[in-house]
Amino acid sequence: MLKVSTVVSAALLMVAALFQTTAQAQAPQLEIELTLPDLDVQPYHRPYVAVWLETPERKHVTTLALWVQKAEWFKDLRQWWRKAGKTDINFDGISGATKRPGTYTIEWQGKDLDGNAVAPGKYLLNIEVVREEGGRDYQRLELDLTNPGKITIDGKKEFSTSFVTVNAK
Amino acid sequence: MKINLLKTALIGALSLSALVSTSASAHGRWLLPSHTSLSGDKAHYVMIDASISNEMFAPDKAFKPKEKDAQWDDTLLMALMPNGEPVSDTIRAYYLKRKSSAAISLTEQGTYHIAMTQKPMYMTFYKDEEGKRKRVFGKKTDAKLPSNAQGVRTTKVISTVDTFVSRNGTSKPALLGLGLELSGPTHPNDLFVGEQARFQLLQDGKPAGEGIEVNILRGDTRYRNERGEVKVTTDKNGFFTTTWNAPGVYLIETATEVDVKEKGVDSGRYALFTTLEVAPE
Repeated sequence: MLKVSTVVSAALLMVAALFQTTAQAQAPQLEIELTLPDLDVQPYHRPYVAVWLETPERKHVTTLALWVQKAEWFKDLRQWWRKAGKTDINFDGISGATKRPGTYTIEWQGKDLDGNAVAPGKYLLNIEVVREEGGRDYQRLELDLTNPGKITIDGKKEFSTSFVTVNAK
Repeated sequence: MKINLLKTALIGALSLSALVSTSASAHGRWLLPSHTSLSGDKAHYVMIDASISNEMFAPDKAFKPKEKDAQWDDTLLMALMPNGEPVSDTIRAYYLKRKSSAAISLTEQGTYHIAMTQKPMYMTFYKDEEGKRKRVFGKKTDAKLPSNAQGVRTTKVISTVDTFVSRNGTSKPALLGLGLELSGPTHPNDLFVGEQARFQLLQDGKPAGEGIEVNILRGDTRYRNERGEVKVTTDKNGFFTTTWNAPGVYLIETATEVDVKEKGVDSGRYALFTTLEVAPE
């Protein structure tokens, strides 16, 4: 799973220069293009999704997206819950409705849920997608907020090939 | 042989740990929680099943209520809240022939330590006039022994049969303080495949000794041909580590010999049966 970062390291270098010239001052720190596939299954329930950052030591830094409305179901996002659920953070501001299949762009402005800037450096980006009466996909990859570029994230089934773009700040 | 031992032990509804010379007892006594991690604002119930079986965690023999013909037992289970206080509600374990089941209301945030009530159990061993090994429950001073019994020895056994459930995040679990139990650094409700877990075996709340063998058995043994127990050994401060290679419910089992300074008791034994859940990555 972490091999993703090695696979793309070369590509990263190549696009880095490009991004440094085209990135707008207002560009979000991270743009995550997440694709939820159209699965031909019955019954189909829209998946719960969590996207979050951890330190390299796997401590929750901030949650970027949380598509699950009821706290009752938070526990089903097992990796997210074990990290984020240990804190007293209120997720009301970030949690939203589940979404139907499609491609979504999650923008992150470089701030934690309290509005404080997150220090530049290396983090682990986590994506967890779990579908009631369905499967679960979890990916964790290293990224460096100071190293612009576009990284491909291979989902297995519950999310399709997705991308994260690191913009220069 | 195993089945006979099991039955005999069950007649007394007590531990059979004392019957085996090593901790590698195949007769698991266990609690099985319906959930180990819960989230949400409303208070939650967690369902606890308790049974004794060789097929982990398929119920086989229930712990019989203390009162004859009782349908339930309010003293079978206890639960320590995250603050260490026992829950005040009665925990009614219904006797269902092959298992006992209880619903426990979790109202606090954090980790509950749920256990069978620890009661000392005495077993007396002797050889009859034909030299056959026999065993009765009770101390030798209380038990009915034949007048010509030889080599009479009484063992006191305290068993810990426990598990952990967390609601709205984890907290450091409260200790029972008596018998054997597991402590961190790894939290018992934060276990994932591929990750190493490190626990400290405690004896009466203090680090247990070095070289104690701990058996780690994944459940669903009915559905595979090899039990595949993992055996690890404690270091000098009672620590041991293991890396989970498959998700599931696990039984952690061990036992130690302890000194007992009690009239009519020759030896002491602690046994541990802790149920843990391991999540897929």
